[in-house]
Amino acid sequence: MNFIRVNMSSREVKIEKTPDEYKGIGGRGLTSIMINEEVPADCDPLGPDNKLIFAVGMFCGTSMFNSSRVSIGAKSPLTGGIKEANVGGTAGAAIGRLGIAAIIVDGKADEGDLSILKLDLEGNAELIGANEYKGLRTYKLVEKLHARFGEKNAVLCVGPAGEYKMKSASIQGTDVDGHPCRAAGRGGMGAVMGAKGLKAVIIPQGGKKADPVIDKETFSEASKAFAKLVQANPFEGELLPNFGTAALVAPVNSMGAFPSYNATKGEFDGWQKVSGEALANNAKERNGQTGHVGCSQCIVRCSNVYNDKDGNYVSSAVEYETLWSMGGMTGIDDLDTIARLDFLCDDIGLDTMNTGVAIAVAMDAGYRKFGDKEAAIEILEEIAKGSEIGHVFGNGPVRVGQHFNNARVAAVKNQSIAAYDPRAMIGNGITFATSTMGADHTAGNMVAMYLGHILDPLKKEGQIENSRENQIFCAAADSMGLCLFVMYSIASPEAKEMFTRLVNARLGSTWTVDDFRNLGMRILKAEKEFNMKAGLTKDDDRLPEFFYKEPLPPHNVVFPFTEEEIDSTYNF
Amino acid sequence: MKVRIRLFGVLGKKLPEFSAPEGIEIELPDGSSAADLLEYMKVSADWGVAVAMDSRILKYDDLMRDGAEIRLLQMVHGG
Repeated sequence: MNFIRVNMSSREVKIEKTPDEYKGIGGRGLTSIMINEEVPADCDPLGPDNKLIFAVGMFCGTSMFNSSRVSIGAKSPLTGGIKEANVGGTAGAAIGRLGIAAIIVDGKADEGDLSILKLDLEGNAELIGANEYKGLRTYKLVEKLHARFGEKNAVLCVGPAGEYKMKSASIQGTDVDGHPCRAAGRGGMGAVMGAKGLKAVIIPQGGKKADPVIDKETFSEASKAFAKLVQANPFEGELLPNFGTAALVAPVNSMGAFPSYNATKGEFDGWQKVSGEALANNAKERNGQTGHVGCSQCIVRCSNVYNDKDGNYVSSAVEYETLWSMGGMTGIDDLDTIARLDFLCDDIGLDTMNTGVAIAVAMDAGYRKFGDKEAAIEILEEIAKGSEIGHVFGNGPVRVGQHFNNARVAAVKNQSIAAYDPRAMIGNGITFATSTMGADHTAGNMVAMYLGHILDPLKKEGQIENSRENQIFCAAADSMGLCLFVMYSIASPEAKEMFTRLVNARLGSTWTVDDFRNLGMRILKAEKEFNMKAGLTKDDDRLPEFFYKEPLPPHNVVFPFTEEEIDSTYNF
Repeated sequence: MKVRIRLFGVLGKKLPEFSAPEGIEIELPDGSSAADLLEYMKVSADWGVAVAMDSRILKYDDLMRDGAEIRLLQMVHGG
């Protein structure tokens, strides 16, 4: 597998063999370890010394199911620390099939100058001037790029928010239908891409240059066993195809942990109107879709297509975290509005979570009333225009809190929390506080442990240890190029053995079961080291004050951990 | 005791006799637990069902409250 190194200052594009020290590491492992090695921690995240790295996971480019996740890493302009955001869709599998392990972009184009990076089926790449696409939103951009280069190309791109270098800017990726509706949303990776002057990466699908699987027979046998495991699981096999991630709305509300009205309540009055069940009924009535395949080689089908009342496409996929950020947090209980906001975020190139929470902070400060649907849409259009107030909102909830003098901002390291209140799911609070990524729902989410009676969400026992293990697991899982949902199926010792066989068959390696955990620890240590060099301290591993002081209904509890307890999470 | 049962996820398809948008009221012996309810409804252990009452996930030996709304939920992961 090769690296493509792109310097946006000199416009030089170099192909090189993957250096030995980076062989056998993919995804988040590769982005985080490389950034810690190669990026000056004190650099300006939007300057030429930062590197934007697109790294496919270990299984990308193979026949393995659900193997189309690409990790995008850099020093984050939002958190000031290291960042990895991974995205599904078509790009991960396509890059892997070109025999490319990573695309590393450094330097910076002249201000206002835009380019696209075009890959070909031989795994070569060239920079092409792209000033004609300046200011384009992602759907229109992809339409033009597909018309020019062919519809079979996967696209990773930024919208206006990325060009404005806003801290909530995402990098959008195309799904199997060619819509740029998959987001590497978190941490302002779109701002880094925009700052470099890179509008899009075009990747042909159908490449045949991936490194071969070393032991094909074992790979085939183990991947079939893995697929059986996934499909036999009620979550991946039944719930996700029928309801997608929106299935989480009912359980989290039923635990009083759905942060609502800017995290003043743990149950959303209108939760049944925005639930997975409501979304599925809506899809049925309007000829929309649940069980939609959004990502290459997917067998889970968690995606959905949301249509308007006339049966026209609005967005895909309306996910749980967006139903929360644009729904519960803002008090908007109307699915049509939430789907519209979801589309606008994809089209402008914005993290739905950071943006929804930013709107909620403003509503809480009295800028508009909770539940004001038109106001939420107006705010997104202000962001798209790049107006003064649009820049305030596009830079995330902490900036909005400063602007409106509201300290009630549910964010850690400037990144908004996700859809689990840290007072009612206190282990998720530990993860939000300590994750190297800032508050993050994929860094070590504990919700299944609460539903499965492994932990009590309101009691301290076991939370720190399980957050630690979850964070280690997720760091390694994010390096595989497989979606997190299928990775949850390898919890049992037998499944871990099976997965280890799969890795060894892929790489010709001699991994033991422990090596998966070892990889996770290595990644977290590299990330922590980078963050410390970048000036982040223990004081950054804290939840906002109101989580310690304001009891959350219906349980009327606060976050209970001491600073010493929080700081013990990374003791490994 | 009487409790109102509400089903989520695919449980409505698996247990149509207990499925209605507003829930179904059922009568059980006083002092029934979550496990008693699941047995009465013939919920299979491998369905991964959690029982919620009063904003808490019940352990299987936890007792239900007369008049409570009981939500039957499926196991989910976050991501």
